[in-house]
Amino acid sequence: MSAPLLRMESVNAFYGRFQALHGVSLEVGEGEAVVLLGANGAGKTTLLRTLSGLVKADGRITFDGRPILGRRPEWIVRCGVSHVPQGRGCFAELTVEENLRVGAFTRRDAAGIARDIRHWYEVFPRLGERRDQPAGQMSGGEQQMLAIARALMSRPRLLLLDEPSLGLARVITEGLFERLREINERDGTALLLVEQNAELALDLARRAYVIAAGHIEVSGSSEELRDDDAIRRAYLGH
Amino acid sequence: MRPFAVPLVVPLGSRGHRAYQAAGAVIATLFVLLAPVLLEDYRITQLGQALAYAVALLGLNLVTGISGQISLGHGAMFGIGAYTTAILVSDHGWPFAGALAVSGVVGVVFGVVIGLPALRLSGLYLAIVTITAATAFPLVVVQPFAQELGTGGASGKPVVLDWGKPSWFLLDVSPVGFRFVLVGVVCAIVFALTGMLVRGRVGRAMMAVRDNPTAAAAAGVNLAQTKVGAFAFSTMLAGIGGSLFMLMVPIVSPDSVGFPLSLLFITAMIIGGETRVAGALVGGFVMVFLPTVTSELALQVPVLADLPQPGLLATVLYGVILAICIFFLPQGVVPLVTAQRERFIRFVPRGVPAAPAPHGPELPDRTSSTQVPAPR
Amino acid sequence: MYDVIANPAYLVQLVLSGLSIGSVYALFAISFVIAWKSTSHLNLAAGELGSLGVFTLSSVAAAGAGAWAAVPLVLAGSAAVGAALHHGLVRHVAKKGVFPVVLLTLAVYLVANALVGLVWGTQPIAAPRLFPTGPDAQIVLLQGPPQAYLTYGDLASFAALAIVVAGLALFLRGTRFGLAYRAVAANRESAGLVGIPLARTAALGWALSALIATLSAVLLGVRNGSLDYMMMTPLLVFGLTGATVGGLESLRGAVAGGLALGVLVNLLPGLLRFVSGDMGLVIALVLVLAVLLLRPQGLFGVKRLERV
Repeated sequence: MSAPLLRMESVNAFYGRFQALHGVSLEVGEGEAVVLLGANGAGKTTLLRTLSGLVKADGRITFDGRPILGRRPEWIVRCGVSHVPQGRGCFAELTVEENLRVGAFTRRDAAGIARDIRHWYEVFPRLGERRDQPAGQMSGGEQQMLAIARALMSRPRLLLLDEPSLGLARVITEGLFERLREINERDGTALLLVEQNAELALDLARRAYVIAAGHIEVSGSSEELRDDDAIRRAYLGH
Repeated sequence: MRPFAVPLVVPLGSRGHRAYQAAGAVIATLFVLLAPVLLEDYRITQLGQALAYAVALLGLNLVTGISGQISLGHGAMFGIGAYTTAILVSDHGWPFAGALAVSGVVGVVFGVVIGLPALRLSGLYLAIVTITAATAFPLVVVQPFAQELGTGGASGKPVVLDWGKPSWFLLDVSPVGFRFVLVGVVCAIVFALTGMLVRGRVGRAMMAVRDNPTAAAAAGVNLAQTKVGAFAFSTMLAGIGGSLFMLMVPIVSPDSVGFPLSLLFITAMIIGGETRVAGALVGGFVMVFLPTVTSELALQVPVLADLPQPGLLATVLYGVILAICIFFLPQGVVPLVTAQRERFIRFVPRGVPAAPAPHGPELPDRTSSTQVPAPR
Repeated sequence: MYDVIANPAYLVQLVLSGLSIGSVYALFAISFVIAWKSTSHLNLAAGELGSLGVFTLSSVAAAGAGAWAAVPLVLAGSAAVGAALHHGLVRHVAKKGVFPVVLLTLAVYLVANALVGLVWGTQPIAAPRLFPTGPDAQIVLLQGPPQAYLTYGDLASFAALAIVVAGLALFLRGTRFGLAYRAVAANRESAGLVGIPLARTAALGWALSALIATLSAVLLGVRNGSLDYMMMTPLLVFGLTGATVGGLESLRGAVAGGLALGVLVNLLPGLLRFVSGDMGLVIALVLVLAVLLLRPQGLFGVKRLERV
């Protein structure tokens, strides 16, 4: 197998003096969909934030062979990593369209940007309907769609998603995951998905990791995790 | 070769600790009683001013260091105390003790009025409100309605103090010297009471609010009350300090109590550091002696001696020192001195195994954070 | 109060003067808001940097360069100083919290203020003449008595405010970097995550802040006809009040807050006997307290403030 797109090796992450991640190693291949499961406070969000350059860490992180640990977020984005933060992180005062345009900040091709915006209005029609409304006025589900579309405007090769289903109704979440599957399969964008909603996530992803108290406890294919009762009971709560 | 191979380790609260504290108290008492006997009036006045400033700085230390809030109007509160005392003593014949008490109360009232709207919000709004109050205060004092109350307008308000030492006071001191003793006594009482407050439940609540407001609220601490209470306590101390200042410098004017004074308080607090007693005292002395030292130094340097306004040089120095402290000495000067003391005596909390001190400052009896406190 | 109402020209004059000085307050309030939007910190030294700027302008103008020619130079210089202040100093303490930044900008305030006093002295000096001042340089609008008139100073203030507001609107709504700037103000972390260079945005914000502060200092000095080293201290308060009343994130709010404050400060002494002309700062204090009690996010602000 060729070198993975993203590789973390023995990464320790810190909030001040508190160590949130302990020797974490993880891989995501080109175009692969991987899910990271775990309970609240296990370090899922910290892991994604470390990848984006928001958290102090040591160890080794390479993206496409290039080391990205210790670099600023704006540099990491330009390598092709895009992060949809927990809680969506929309620009509430900007309109939907402005949110999308600013998502393409690292790009200079005006025509391509316009085409992509139109594309996302087709994929998420609700966004198109509300293109001139401030993002802060939209529902949770709409904001989530906007956050994903915004993150994809930079045409990343890896999309990091932090609990996209949080606070959303079941129906909306199912629709969202359908769109994510299309994005992964059709566009070839790799996904690293952090979720508490294990079922939908394991359906979408091919491989999974389970993290607990800052350590990677389990890694394997989605089937393995789904079928293993002990793992499900211990880490997924059912 | 150091005199002790290993520093003397003394548990907090033990007899050794109490002896150390008692020794400190004795030294302080001797200082307060002997200084007026041995020094001339000019020096005594300076020392007394430093103590008065120290009382106000104790309040500022409390509200920023322990409670984590920014007050940029301390000079105005100091001024309110000074003016209140001046008016009550000169115009209405009040005894000084009564005026002192009222000055404290007035400080509390203004602290609540100004603090209450701002303290429900982030610390920045308190900064804005206190800057406004500090800049507005000198202007209010010269207004016609204020002058009718007795503030004396732009030329200031003198204080008439025509009493000397009472007959039962055995030491041979001048009237100024006796007033210094009074300042010293009030200062000691204030420091002792504040120390008790901080070590008790109230102090812990304040520190909880500073370090983790959410956790504190979850633990049942009323955040608004604690913040406003801390702020009002600090303004009370500022008012008392201003009142005491009148014993040493019997005139107060609008120019001396504006925004620049508030900035000086802040700078002195940062330089002194957040250690309560020592920091406030160091700060007080800085406020009194730094301008003098600066002017004398300036006269030595040929380029600077010709400046039209040598007094402003002290201000430049204040600003530079403040910046240096922010970057390199967020806890002020006192920890540097404490580190030296720690080579000989260390105080540890009870129950901690008495390991020898590692090289470098290790401060086991401190519970506050190691950075300049950031108000949430 | 009767005098004012019975004489429409007098009322109009009070309002016009209020709007005029309010424009200067509004400009200064804008300088706070523009720095706040890019960093969530207040540039408390803005006024004194402006003071340095206008005093430099007077020296350059006196040296024969001509006042108008020197203005762009001085503005550019201020912008550079503002950017350097953030990039070189503030940025390094910003991660420690709100308090260190407040202290640092106050330290700069102290040093800049004292420097002005040391270099140019504490006595007032003549302001550079950018346009005619004096009793004849007026445009009369309404015949009184007393007359309602506009001075060149008034016109310059309105014009400066209009130009700055239009310029900022053009930048923020019409350019790619302006969009990025607004994104940083809306959600700093997400802005970093889409690749916006946060340090450069902050430097730009503080550069603009210093530039606009200098502009307001120049206006203030030229209107008054003289400069003195403490002239910007009251403006610090008026600018902060205007920004707070309007809402710290809102440029529109800064304009509204500054203008409203100017009108109030002018109108109240005319309407109410017991308020003397110097009570401007007290009015500001009362206004700030009232706003923080009743509507803490300001007139135009977004309700995002932490609550105890």
